[in-house]
Amino acid sequence: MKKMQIRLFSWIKKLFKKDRMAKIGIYGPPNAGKTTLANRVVRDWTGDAVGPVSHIPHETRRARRREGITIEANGTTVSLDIVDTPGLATKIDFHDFMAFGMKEEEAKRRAKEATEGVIEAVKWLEDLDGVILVMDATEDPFTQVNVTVIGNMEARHLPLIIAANKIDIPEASPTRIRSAFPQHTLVPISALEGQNIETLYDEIANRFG
Amino acid sequence: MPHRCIKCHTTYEEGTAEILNGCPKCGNNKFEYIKEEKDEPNIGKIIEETHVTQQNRKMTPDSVESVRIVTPGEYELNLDSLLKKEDIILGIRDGDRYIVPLTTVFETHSKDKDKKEKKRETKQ
Repeated sequence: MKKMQIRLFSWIKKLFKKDRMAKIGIYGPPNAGKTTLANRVVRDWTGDAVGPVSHIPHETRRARRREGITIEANGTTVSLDIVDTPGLATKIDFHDFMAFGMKEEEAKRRAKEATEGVIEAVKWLEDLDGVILVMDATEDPFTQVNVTVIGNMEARHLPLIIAANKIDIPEASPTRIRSAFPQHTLVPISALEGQNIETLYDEIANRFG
Repeated sequence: MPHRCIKCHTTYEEGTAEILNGCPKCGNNKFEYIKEEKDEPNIGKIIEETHVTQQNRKMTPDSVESVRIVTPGEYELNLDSLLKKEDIILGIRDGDRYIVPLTTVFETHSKDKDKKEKKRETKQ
């Protein structure tokens, strides 16, 4: 009887629920796979792409927004605006880009744009309803960027999902991230290969739907 | 401070009669000060101290600036400050100069004021 009541209540809730567009930001350090994930989500549900990816850090230097993505998962339909943001970093040095064969002038320009990109990414937080924090599961999760961002999301009471990316690489350890931030929902994924991406969609539907 | 005869390099304590009368060994009356060891520059120590100073100058969450321009193309970002504060303060080099972009600051605060006024209006 009680179960019936709960079902009836959730059915009524769904019936009167306003069709709200949730604005979700994809955040994380450089080279964690944010744009790869954004491309995967957008391609899976619309057939488009968001932006180019590269092994050189700070490829995404402007926030890119893709509107009206409808995700159907877990029996619910969620409408999302996805914002792919530039990688958050505490130090940007043009010498690092020159190591990839870039000329000094180009490397300096990239560093400047990447710095502006970090500021832009932070400003976007004001407008968001939730965040997917992408972390590289092959790297140590205890970084200043991860700790600062998670602390700030908690202070803002922003719903957060941690995507432990790159699980297609044998050295990946999502467990390490889980034990570092046990208070948050974590989904191990490979944005590149599409591994476990369905679980992420289920979680998006649960948290942001 | 001990003295040393510049000719035969014999050392004499400060204020001794030999310094006034001349070196009893060679008869020379020119002496030089011998610097005590602690006065000699210890390069290793200086390097160590410089290293600490550089560490202190690194951007910390408590640093006043949100972005530090070390050189053109080299930037340090204070994520904590950027996430918490709306205003951006630029630091130049090792934090010996700061820039506060007033236009942005005024714009931000006027927007905040507008928002508050709108809220007040809707309440009334």
